[in-house]
Amino acid sequence: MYKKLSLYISWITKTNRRRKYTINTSSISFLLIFTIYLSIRLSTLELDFNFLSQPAGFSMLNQWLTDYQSSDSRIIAYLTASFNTIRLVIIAIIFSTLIGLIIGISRLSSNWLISKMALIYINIFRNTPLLVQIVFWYIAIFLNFPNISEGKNISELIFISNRGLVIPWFNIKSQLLWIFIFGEIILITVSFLLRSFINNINNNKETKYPENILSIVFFIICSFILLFLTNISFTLDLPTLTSQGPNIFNYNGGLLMTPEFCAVLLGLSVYTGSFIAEIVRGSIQALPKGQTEAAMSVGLSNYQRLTLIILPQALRIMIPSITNQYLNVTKNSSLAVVIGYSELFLVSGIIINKAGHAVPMYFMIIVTYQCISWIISIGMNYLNKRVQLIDN
Amino acid sequence: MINIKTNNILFWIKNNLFNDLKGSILTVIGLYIAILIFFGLFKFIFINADWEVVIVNFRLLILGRFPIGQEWRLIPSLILSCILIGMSISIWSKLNLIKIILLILILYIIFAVFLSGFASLIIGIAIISGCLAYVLSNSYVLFKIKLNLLKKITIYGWILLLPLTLILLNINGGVGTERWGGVFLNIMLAAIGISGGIIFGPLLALGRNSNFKSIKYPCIAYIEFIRAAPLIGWLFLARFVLPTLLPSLFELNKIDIVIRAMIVLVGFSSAYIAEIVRGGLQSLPKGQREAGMALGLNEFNITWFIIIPQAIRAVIPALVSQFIALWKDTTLVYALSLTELLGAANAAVAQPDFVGKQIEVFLFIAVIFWTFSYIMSRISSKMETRLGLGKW
Amino acid sequence: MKKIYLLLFTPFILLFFACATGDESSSVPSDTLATVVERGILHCGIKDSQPGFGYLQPDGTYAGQDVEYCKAVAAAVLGDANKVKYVPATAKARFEMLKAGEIDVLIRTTTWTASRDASLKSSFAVTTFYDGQGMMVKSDSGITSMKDLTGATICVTTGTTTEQNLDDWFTERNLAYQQLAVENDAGSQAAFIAGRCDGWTGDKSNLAGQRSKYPSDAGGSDALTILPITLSKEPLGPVTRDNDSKWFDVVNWIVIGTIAAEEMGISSQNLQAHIANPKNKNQARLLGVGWDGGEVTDLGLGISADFMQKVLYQVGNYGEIYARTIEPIGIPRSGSLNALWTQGGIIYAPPMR
Repeated sequence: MYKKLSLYISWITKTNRRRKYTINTSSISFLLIFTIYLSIRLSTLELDFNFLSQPAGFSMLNQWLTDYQSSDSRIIAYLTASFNTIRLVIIAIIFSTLIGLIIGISRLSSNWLISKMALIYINIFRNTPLLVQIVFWYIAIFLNFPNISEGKNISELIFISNRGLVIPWFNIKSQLLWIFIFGEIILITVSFLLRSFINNINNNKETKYPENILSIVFFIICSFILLFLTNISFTLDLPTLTSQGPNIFNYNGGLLMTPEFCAVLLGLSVYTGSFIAEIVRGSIQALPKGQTEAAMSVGLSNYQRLTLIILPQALRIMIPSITNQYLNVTKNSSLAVVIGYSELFLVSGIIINKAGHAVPMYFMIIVTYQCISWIISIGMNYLNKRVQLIDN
Repeated sequence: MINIKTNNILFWIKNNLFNDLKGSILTVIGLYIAILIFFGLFKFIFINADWEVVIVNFRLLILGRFPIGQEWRLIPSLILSCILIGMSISIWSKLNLIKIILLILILYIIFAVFLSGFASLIIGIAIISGCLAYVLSNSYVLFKIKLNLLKKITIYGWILLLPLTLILLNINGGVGTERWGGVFLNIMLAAIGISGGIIFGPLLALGRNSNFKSIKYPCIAYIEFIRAAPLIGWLFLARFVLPTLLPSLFELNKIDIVIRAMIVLVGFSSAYIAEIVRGGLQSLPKGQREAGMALGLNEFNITWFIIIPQAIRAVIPALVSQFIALWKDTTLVYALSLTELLGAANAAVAQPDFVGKQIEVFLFIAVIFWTFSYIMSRISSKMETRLGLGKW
Repeated sequence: MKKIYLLLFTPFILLFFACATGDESSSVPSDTLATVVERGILHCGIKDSQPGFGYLQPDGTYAGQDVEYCKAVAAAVLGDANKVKYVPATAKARFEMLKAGEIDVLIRTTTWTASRDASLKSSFAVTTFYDGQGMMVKSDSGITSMKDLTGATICVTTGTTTEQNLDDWFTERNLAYQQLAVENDAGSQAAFIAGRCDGWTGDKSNLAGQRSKYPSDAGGSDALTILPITLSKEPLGPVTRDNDSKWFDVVNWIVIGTIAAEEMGISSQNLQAHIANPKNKNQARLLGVGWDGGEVTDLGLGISADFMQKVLYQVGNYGEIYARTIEPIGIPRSGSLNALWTQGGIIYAPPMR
C-alpha cells in the first residue's frame, strides 16, 4: 500500500517529457475548470461598480486633511477611507521605528534597570494580541480623558480631551495645490536623475562635481519657482473650542486627531515597536564584537560609536525583517474597524450593508492593500540596495 | 562577611546603575516611571477594580457556550497536554524547574479564586500530572528507557492530541462547533490552523519550487494573494461570500461559521508556513538530494524522508513564532460574532449588571493571552539553542 | 494512456459543472419547514448583546424576548423548546446569513421596512415589539431637543436602520453632525458613557434598558435622559426567506398564537384547565382540541394541530414572555404600544380559525 503510494507520487514528481505533458495538461485543465466554476458562481452576484457613484448617505468622523460629507458619492467615501488607512500606516511606521530603535538599544544598555525595563516592555507587548491592546487603549485610556468641556488646554494652542487631540497646523490655500504636489514629485525624481547623471560624469573625469549639493540646490531653486508660479499661501491655523447649542462643543481648525485614531496608532506603534526592538537588538548583536572594540580604541564616544559604527552596519542586517514588520503594520491597521476608526473595512462594511455588492467591494479592498504593500516593499527594497551599496 | 556582601551589592549597583552621570539620570528617570506604573497597576488591581464581572463570567470566558455537563470531554485532553508539556520541557528545553513551578503556582492561585471546587480539582490534577511527567522524564535513565524512545513518544503524543480531542468532542452525541467558545475556542482554532498549515504549507512550498510551471505559478499566486490582504479581510469574505461560492452538494454551503473560520485560518497559515518552509528548503545543501539519489531512493522518498524533515527542523523556531502569531490572530474571529475570548468578554460587558466594567475584563483576557504566548515564546527561545541541526 | 487520464478527469469535470450551475435558489431550501423537521433542530439567528431581547448570560445560555420566540418556534415545530441552535448574527451579516440558509429564521430586533422586505429577499412576520428610534443624552448636558444636537457627535451601531434615519433627520434640516459608527452595542455604549459622543441613538427599548442599568455610582438612571422624540417607527419581528410561504405562515401564526392566547387569558399556568375544558370554540381551535367532544380543527399549517399547547406549555403567552424578558430591564408594558389592543396598545391577533 505504502510502496504503491510512494511510487505514484514519485511518478508525479519525476521529470520526463511525456509525464510533463500529462501533468501540465491535467493541472491546467483543473485550473481552467476551477476558474469557470468560480466565474459561474460569481455571476449570480452583483458584479458591476455603478453603485459607487451614488451618494453615500452616511457620515464619518473627519480628521485633519479629510473633508467628507454624507452627500458625497460612495467612491469619495471609499477614497477617504483609503486615505485614513494610508495616513495611519505611515505615521504608525514612523512611530514604531522610533520606539523599536529606542527600546532595542536600551535592551543592550549597560544600565541594568533600563535594560530590564526594555525587556519587560518587549515581553508584555509582543505577547498580547494587538486587537486586545487596541481595545484596551481605546476604552481604558483615551475614553477616560476629560470631557471636551473640561478638557486640558495648553495656552490656547493644544487641546486634549476625549474628543481628540488638536494642535496648530498650517492652512495651505491655492487653486493649484494638486499641480504643486504633482510638480514636487516630478522635481524629486528629476533631482535624483540629475544626481546620478553627475555621478556618471564624475566617473569619467578627473575633477569631480559635488553631486549632492548640486542636486539639492537645483531642487530648492525649482521648488521656489514652482511655489511662486502656483501662488500658494501658507497661513497658521490655530485650533479653537467653539460651542454650538447649550452644551455642544467642537474643535474648529487646527490638526485634529480623534481618540480612535490615537488608540489605533498607539496600539500599532507599541506592538510593532516591540517586534522592531527585537530585530534591532538581534542585528546589533549579530555584528562582530571587534567593531565595538575598534570604535572604542579610536576614542569615539558612546553616541558616536552607536550612530557612526554600529547602527549603519546593523541597518544592513535588519532591513529585510523590518520591511516585513512594515507590511504587517499595513495589514494590522485593519483592526481599527472594531473601535470605529473609519478605515477601509469599516467604510466598505457600511457601503456593503447599504448597497450590497460584497464581491466587488472585497476585490477593491484587496487591491488597495496590495497597492500599499507594493509601495512599501518597493521603497524598502530601494533603501536596502542603497544601504548595501555603501558596503562596496 | 556581611561587610563583603554589602560591598558587593553596592559595587554592583554602582557598576550597573550609576556608572556615570548620564547613566545615573537614566536610572532615576527609569525608576520613577517604573514605580509610577507599578503603583498605578497595584492600586487598580487591588483597590479600584471590581472583579465580580470576571468571577461571575469565568465559565463564559473559558468555555463560552459549551454545554453544562459535557465538560468531561475536555478533561483527558487537558491532562494529556499537561503531561506532554512537562515531557517536552524536560527533553528539549532548559527552562528552570523552580521558575516553572513558581509560575504555575501563581497562575493556579489566581485561577483558583475564580474556580468552583470540581474545576479547580481537575486543573490541580492536570498540573500535578504535568509536573510528575517532567520529573519522571527527567530521570528517564532510572527506567531504562532510551532518550530517543521518549522523544518519539512525546512527538506521537503531540500528533495524536488534536485527533483525540476532536474524537472526544464528537463521540456520544458530541458538542457541535457552534457551542465552542471562550479560550477553548481560541486554542482549538490555533491548533487546527497550525496543524492544517503544517500539512498544506510544505506542499505549497514544494509546489512553489516545482519544475512544472503549471504547478509553480498557481502556488505562487495563491501564496502571494493570501499574504497580500489582512486576515480579517479573509474572515469577512468567509462570512459574506464563501456560502455563494461553495457548491450546494452535501450542504457544503451551509457549514458552520466556526468551521469556515477554521478553513480560513488553515488556508491563511499554510500560505505563511509555505514561505517559512521555502526558506528552510533553500538553506539545505544540494548534496542532501544527491546523496539520496546515490542511495537509489526515488523522488518521493527523497522529498519525504530527507528534504522535508530537515527543512522543517531548520525552521522550527520560525514555526513556533508563527504559531504564537496565529494564537494572537484567533482574536479576529470576534469580527464574525463568535464567542471566542474577546467575544465572550464583550458579551460579559454587555450584561445589564456589569455596565462600564470593561477595563477589568479586558485586563483579564490580556493576561490570559499573554500567559499562553509568553510560555510558548520562552519554550521556543530555549529550544533554538538546544535544537541544532541533526540533533533531533 | 492519455485517454485513461482524460477518462479519470471526466467525472470531476461533470461534478464541477453540476455544482457550478446549481443556481442560488436551489442551494437554499425552498421548504424550510420540511428541512427543519428533517434536521430536528432549528437554526435561529439572534442578537447576543442586548438585554431584554437577546444576550449571553454568565452560564453561557441566551435570554431575551427574541430567544423566547426561537424557543416557541422550536416547541411548535419540533415539540421541544430546547432543540434550537442559536446563531449570533451581527447587524451587518444577518440578511446574508438568512439568504445563504445559514439560519432558518432571523429573530434579532429586525425592523420591518419596505426595502428590506422587497430587495433583501425576506418576509417579515407579525411584529413582536413596537419600538421607535430614540436619542439618549446625558442629563447634565442641558440638551432638551434634537435641534440642540446641531454639530454634535452621535454614537450609532453600524449596519442598522438607525444609521440611515439619523442621516435623514439631519440632512433634511440641513444641520451638521458627526457620526461615530461602532461595530457593536458594547462599543457604542462605552463611547457614549465616557462622553465621547453627545448623543447615542438606537431603539428606544435598548436605550431604556441601558438607562435603567446605569451604575448608581455614576448617578443612576437619572443621569441619562431619553429625548422625547421618535426618529422613526421600528416594528421588530421575525424574518424568514422569500418564496417560502409555508414556513412563513408557521412562524407568523406561532407569534400570533402567543398573542391570541393572551387575549383569551390562556397562560402556561392555567393551560391544563383550558385543554381539559375549553371555554369556547375559539379556545378549542387555538389549543387544537375538539369542542365538546367533536373533531379537532386543523388550521392547515402543516404542523400538528395542538402546536399552541406545546408553545404555551414550554414558553408561555405574549404577556408572560414580555413579563419575563422585557419588564426586568425597566420597560413597563401598560400604556405602551405593546399593551394588548383591549388595553390601549396595538398588539392584536387576527382570528385563528
